[in-house]
Amino acid sequence: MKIPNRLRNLLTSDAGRGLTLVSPTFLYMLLLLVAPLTMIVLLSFWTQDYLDLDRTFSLKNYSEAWGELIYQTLMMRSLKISMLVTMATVIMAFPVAYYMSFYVDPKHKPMWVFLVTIPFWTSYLMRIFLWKVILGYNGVINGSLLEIGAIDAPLEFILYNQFAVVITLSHAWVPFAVLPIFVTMEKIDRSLLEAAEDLGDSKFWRFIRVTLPLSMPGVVAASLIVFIPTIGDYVTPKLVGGPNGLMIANMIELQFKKANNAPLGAALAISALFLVVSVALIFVWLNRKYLKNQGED
Amino acid sequence: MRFGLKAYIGLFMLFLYAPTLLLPVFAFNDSTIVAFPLSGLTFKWMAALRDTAALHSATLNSLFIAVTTATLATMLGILAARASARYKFPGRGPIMGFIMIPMALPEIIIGVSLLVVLLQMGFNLSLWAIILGHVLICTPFAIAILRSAFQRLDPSMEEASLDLGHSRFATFMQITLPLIMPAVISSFLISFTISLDEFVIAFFLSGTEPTLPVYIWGQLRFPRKIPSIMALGTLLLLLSLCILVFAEYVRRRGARKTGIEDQGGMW
Amino acid sequence: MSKPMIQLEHINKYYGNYHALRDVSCEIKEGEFFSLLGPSGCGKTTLLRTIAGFETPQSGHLAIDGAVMDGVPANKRPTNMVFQSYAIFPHMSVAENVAYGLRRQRMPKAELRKRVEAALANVGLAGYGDRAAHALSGGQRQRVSLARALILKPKVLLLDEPLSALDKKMRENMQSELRHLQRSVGITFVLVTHDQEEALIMSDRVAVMFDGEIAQLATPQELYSRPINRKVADFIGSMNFLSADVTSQSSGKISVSIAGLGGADLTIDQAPAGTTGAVCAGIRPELMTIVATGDAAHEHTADGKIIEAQYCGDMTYYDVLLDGTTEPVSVSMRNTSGRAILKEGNTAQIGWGSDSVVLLPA
Repeated sequence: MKIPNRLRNLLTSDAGRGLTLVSPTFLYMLLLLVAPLTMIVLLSFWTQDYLDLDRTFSLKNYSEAWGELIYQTLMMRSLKISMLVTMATVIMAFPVAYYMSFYVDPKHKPMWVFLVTIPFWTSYLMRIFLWKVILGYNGVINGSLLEIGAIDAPLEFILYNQFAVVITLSHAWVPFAVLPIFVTMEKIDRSLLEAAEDLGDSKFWRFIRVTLPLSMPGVVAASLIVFIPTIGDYVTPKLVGGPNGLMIANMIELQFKKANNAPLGAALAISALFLVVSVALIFVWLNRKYLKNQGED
Repeated sequence: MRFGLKAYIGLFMLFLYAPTLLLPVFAFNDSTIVAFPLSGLTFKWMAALRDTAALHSATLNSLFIAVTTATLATMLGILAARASARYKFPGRGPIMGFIMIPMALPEIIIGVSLLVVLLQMGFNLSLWAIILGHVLICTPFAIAILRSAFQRLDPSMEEASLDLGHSRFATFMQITLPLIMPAVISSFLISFTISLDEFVIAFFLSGTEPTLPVYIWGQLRFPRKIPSIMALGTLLLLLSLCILVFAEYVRRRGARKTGIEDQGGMW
Repeated sequence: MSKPMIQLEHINKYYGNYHALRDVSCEIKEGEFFSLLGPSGCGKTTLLRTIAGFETPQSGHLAIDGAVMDGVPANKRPTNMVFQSYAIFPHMSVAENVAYGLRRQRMPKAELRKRVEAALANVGLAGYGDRAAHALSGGQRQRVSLARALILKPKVLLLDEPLSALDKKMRENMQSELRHLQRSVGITFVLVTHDQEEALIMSDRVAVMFDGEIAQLATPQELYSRPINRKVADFIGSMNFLSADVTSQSSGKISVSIAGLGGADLTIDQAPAGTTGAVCAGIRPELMTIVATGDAAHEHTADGKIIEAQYCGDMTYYDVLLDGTTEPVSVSMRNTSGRAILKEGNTAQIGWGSDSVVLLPA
């Protein structure tokens, strides 16, 4: 088949080859991400009256989503829980990443990465459920504390509330916080620390003035990696949240299933997405502003 | 300071592993109540699993979905990762950024939007609907793993193969694929594991044939079923560990065979 | 040996706005050892890859052995390449690597094995067939990649800086080995290097490239003794540049006056770029001598003072400030027995001949 020279040059050029290769994946994503999301956006502007779907454009769902107290509460609560989880995981993860990067023998580092990530590869549902077991009325903590006589009656405040949700989510996501911080710390040029020592800094100050600032990009990455998915978590609030620990994802599911008000559910979903993206962007922008001097790749 | 750090690490590891360690404990505990003190050893919960037909069909569903998802996600991942690592094409940054989005989207958004689209288009909810959703979230992981493998691959390897007369396809099969095989396997195993364990999307899209996580979810509301769920969890834990150890073994063997330096895992 | 094997005509290559190859034209003869020499970024590797088929020029034509190569992909060209990183396939054995190109031509296993063994013996690696490719040293990898390319009997062998990854001793060995190999195999070699010594030692002809253009294409002797401009002169070996004026010119003869050295009569071939415009005189450090008593008479002499003397075992390198000049010149002397080694501050008389001078554009 004779292909005209110009076309052949175009197809076999770097650009041509690259675009051809990436197109199946790109098109798949386009179809399965953009199309459904567009539908959801459209749906959020329609209204559902029992069994009838009214397709006239309306902002009623959004005014409900942002106006009704219950939805506001849920969104604020989800935001709060997510932020608490993010802070908790990053604070817990940081010393672990530091230990792995600066104290562990380089030969053993892959092993440590492996150890930290194993729990993640076990069933998510199981892990959440196990926290229910641990924190429950007859659970491990209460059982043990009663046994040793530290308390007279089982603690009730540790399960079926926001506290339980925060603990459970933090446990689930902490490996995800360790890894980005670890990777960033690995990239820190050790000779910078030696130079700081040579110029008179003590161990503490070397940490404050060199290690900590240079780890910040990892901390930012870890925060985003934890924050964004946890806001939309469904399983944890449902299993351990109790009535006051439910989050926005539970309400979205409710609207789609039992309450049969998919348009409202869609509006809630889009609003939640909007909230997540805005907070994330503000966070990234703040970091850019204050960490301008970091030469991030 | 060093001792304090070590003590913290010890506590941290305990915290991390505590729930998981409880699984085998209560899977063999002779009591329907999951609490301390323990009541003695039994295998009846394990035996109960063998006799539950619903569990078997849910497991088969999950395996089918996971294998299909892993295959498709890895194939899409190979194409996109190679394009991104090897060629400079217009819009590369935005296109790749777009492809990686599902990694960052909350699963509920994906589940809900796919549900809406599939219902609107009149498709039945089925295992294939779940596969579509799972491939969506697994492909970014596949790309992340494969991209670094492609970047480590010396481009002159493929050029040498072409130079010696072989076609592009032959070059891919004989040179590229063998050299990225550890990453391909990693990508397959990771996608498999993610799909096997995924709950939210499956929950929204599964219709009448539940996957394993959906089945487990259904069982959780029955207190008497809980010990057998523990038994199931223990088996799943063993399976995950086997997969992980296998993945690590393959990775090390691949590195040894080709003499490429041990990079310390898929990360 | 005079038939052209590779013909490049007006090759232009752009990367975006960057003009990597600027209207390059040249002919490489059949059976010659041809080198592309230049500093990094000059386009020599781009040109080599264009011949191989890995880069497509935006304009211009390339013919190999008379056949036009426009639109012909790399895997269909009668060229084979030794890559800078050697590109030895790590997941195959040495024998499998060498046999790789031959696999496409179905031949009985015994025949294949024989040819692989012959190819390995040819590069001094007889018996290495079963070794794992990733366990070889740099020098061994290079030989494997040579064997792998040569076994296909290409019309042209392209080598992209094949010796740059080797240590000095290995490099020197390989330089003479490559030369012998080319002679015995008899095919056209095109080598890319930034090392001018290497190019001079191994090549029949060298194209010196700067900034995407061929500055001069000549034999090593011509390049060394009659460089076409200061850039080439400075890149190949080291050269002293002295200001000079053309005092008179008649058919075949040019009279010049050189600062610090005096007057001399040159022949027309000592001014390869002509005499229009400002000129300077170039003279190699080894072509000037520090006069010692008992020397045979030199054609010209000039007086000066030693500014610096660097002893290097077999040679001593002097910086000499000639009377009437402000910049010192380099003079290199072999430390032959009986010859005194001078020190800083000593006065010296410099002997030189008119045939040592080359006139270059200033």
